[in-house]
Amino acid sequence: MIRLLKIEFKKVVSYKAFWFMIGFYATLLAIMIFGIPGLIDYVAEKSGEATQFRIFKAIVFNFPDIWQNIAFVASFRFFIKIVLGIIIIILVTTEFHFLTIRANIINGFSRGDFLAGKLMMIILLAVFSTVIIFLSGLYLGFTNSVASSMGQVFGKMEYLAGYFLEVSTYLIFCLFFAILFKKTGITFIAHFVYLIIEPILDYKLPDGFDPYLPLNAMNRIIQSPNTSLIKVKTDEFNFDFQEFIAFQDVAVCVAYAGLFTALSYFILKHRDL
Amino acid sequence: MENVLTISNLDKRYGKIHAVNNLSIVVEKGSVYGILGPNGSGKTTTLGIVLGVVNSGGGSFSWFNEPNSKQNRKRIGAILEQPLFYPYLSALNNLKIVADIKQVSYDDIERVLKIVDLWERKDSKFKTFSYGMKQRLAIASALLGNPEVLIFDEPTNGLDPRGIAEIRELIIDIARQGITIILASHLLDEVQKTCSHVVVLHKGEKLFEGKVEDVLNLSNTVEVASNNAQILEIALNEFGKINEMKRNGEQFLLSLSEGITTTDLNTYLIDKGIIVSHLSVRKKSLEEQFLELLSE
Repeated sequence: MIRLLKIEFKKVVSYKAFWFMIGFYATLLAIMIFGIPGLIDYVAEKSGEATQFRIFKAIVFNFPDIWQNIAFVASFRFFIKIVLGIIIIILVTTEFHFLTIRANIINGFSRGDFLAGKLMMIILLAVFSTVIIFLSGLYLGFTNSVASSMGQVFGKMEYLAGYFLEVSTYLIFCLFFAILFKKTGITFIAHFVYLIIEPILDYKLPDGFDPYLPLNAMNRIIQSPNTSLIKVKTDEFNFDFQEFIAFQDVAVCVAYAGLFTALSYFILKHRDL
Repeated sequence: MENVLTISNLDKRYGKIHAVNNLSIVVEKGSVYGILGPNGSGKTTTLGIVLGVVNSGGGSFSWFNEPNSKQNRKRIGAILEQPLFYPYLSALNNLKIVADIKQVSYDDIERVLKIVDLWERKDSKFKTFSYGMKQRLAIASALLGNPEVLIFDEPTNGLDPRGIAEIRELIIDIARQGITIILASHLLDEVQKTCSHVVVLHKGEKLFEGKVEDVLNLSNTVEVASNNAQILEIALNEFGKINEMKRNGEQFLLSLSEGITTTDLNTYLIDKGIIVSHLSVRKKSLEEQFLELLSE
């Protein structure tokens, strides 16, 4: 497995488009993470109710709630997660475009090896993304949080694990699309069309189905954060916020990761390359 | 003889096109095996199947008399149709990936790049190469790790005459080392000059399989002439061991019966008191033979 990852890494070592996308992703994340506290300060000043915003800020960035908040924002459906998806789509479709997948097989890869290599790359990207979120969380927490005991700092870390699962599953979903459509442009279009179609589908389908649609299932792992700020329920504002990661959501998500991997393997196995 | 590749009743259809039709061939160790056929005769499809990139529609194949596995492919060096590399990587990095997949040492990269004269350009990106250089890099990649079998599908595509001659010499050189070579080509000259065995494919079917010299000896034409054509004609008609005879001006073109040589013919004519002024065997080129096979 490590051997496969090393080979995948060699494939991108001087691939400018790949490093550009990674840089773009990291920059977007940095702007977001370091920009948000400043943005809150700015709004606070303009609104004339600075105190309320300061309280909001202190609560949002407070350990351990910060882990849930930051993971929620970073995994948002139409947000920067997509950049990682684009990277995976490019990495896979270029192998079809340049027929290098064919060269890999001729030289002694099995089709399973090819798929496993890409899965390793997905895990690497998901780890990379999770580590960035973790480091940013530490930075934002220590600069803004009131609470800073060890227990508080490292509490609610399961939301980072949840984030890792969600991003991995999303990237496997992108991998499946790339293997299915082979062409970069078509895969992009299919991916974005699906992003738009699923909410419509969700709306049309009977109520019980929404946890089982793939992107919904991924997004349900980390839902709207239940921080101390919005714990208050009133008659007008009666909404359930997430207090823990539900086992059922994790199970559905893992099942989808397995399903998309199996479908990808099935397609690769039965296709002439 | 040990068999390197055994193909039994292989079949492949692309919709209505029957690309490979019940094909069986055996490649023996140490041979230089040519696969001949016009474009679309199933050469590349057959090689694609035995190299694991195309799924077969029936029949079976086996490398080194072993069950199929990716491990077998690591013992083979192959070029299929066109050079396939990562365009944004250097020649060196591309070959490192090949070495990693084949699980052979990087130490061999310098040797193979020097064989194809690309060592100086090892750090250039693949996409900056001319087509001939790309083809040479593909040959280097196939040679990496000293494989037991080499498969060359149109290896001289895109090369200039000097390059073609170099590759042909390289193939002969490799064959001398006892490495088995499978060469698919529609360039007959290439096959005639380098191969020991040949199979001729047409529309996915096998038309002929055997040694190259056997194909060439299938029917040689003997030319004979003397000062007196009329006497010669009578004598030849009486000889009886001639399949076919045609008169071409003062010359007669003969196709001798099996086992009859020009020595036999000459001895007979001398006995009859006829002195020939011209006697020669016209060897058909593989190309003529090939066209004949296809027209049958």
